[in-house]
Amino acid sequence: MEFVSIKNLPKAVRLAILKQLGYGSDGQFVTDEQGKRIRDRYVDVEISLSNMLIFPGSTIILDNNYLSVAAYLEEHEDAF
Amino acid sequence: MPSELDPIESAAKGFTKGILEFSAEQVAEWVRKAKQGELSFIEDDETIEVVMEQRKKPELELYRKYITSPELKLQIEMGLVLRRIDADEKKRNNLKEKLTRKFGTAGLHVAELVKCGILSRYVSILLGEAKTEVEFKEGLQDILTGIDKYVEFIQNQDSVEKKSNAVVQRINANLPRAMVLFSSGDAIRKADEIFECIKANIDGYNYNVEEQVTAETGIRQRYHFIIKKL
Repeated sequence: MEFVSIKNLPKAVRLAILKQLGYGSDGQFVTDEQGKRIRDRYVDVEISLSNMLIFPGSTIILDNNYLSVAAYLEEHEDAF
Repeated sequence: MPSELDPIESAAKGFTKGILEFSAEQVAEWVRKAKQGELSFIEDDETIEVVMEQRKKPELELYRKYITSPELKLQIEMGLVLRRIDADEKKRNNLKEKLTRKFGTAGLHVAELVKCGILSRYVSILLGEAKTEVEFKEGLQDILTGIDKYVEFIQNQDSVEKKSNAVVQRINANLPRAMVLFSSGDAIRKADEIFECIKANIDGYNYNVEEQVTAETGIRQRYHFIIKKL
């Protein structure tokens, strides 16, 4: 597994990554193709463009927090 | 180029890239790898590093051996994370809020008891009599799913009379092997008063008081144990 830190990536690059993965942004939060804000599947919060994680497995976008990471690893034990 | 090393090793050595210069081709290559399950985009190393660190701890491995519920496993794991990030109030509060959102206050309480190290001591008291592994497993599951039956979190604004009456009623109804009153900071004095009231109104139990001070924050936590006489 490779890890790319997006912490210092310009907003335009984050947007480009999201677009190529089939997502978008309203400028503040991550949205789906219809422009609707998506929510973290584990903690049910909107995902900020400035605090997101993108994990493999049908490309899962999450809020960057301990619980979501742990919940993801619980479902995908061999992910990393 | 991105690191192909273990994430913890990468984080520790600062190998994970914070790429400032890139090309459209580079982004396309990352996305291709992400779609193939070979690459993750992470905000900061710390979040993953802390989670991975806890997952390797023997304390968690022990609990995971006996617990089947994914929710309980996560609550325990987050208890260890809470312990690790205790000095960072913002992160601590953020995690507590997320735990409450996902699991309710009972889930938060499980995590808090793991955080302060009291769960392992409590479990040994409760399950000291378990004769088989199955019995131990069932007992542990029972404690964790019914944590609020066995643990009372004392707040500074609690009424001594109401709280002590409620605990006495619960003890008489459930006859638990042990109960714990958990208090910290200003609520400790209130917990002492409630504890004395309870002692005066139940029979057949021994008592023990333990205290610990969180090194990072200096906050005192007190545990009043009410343990059934064998």
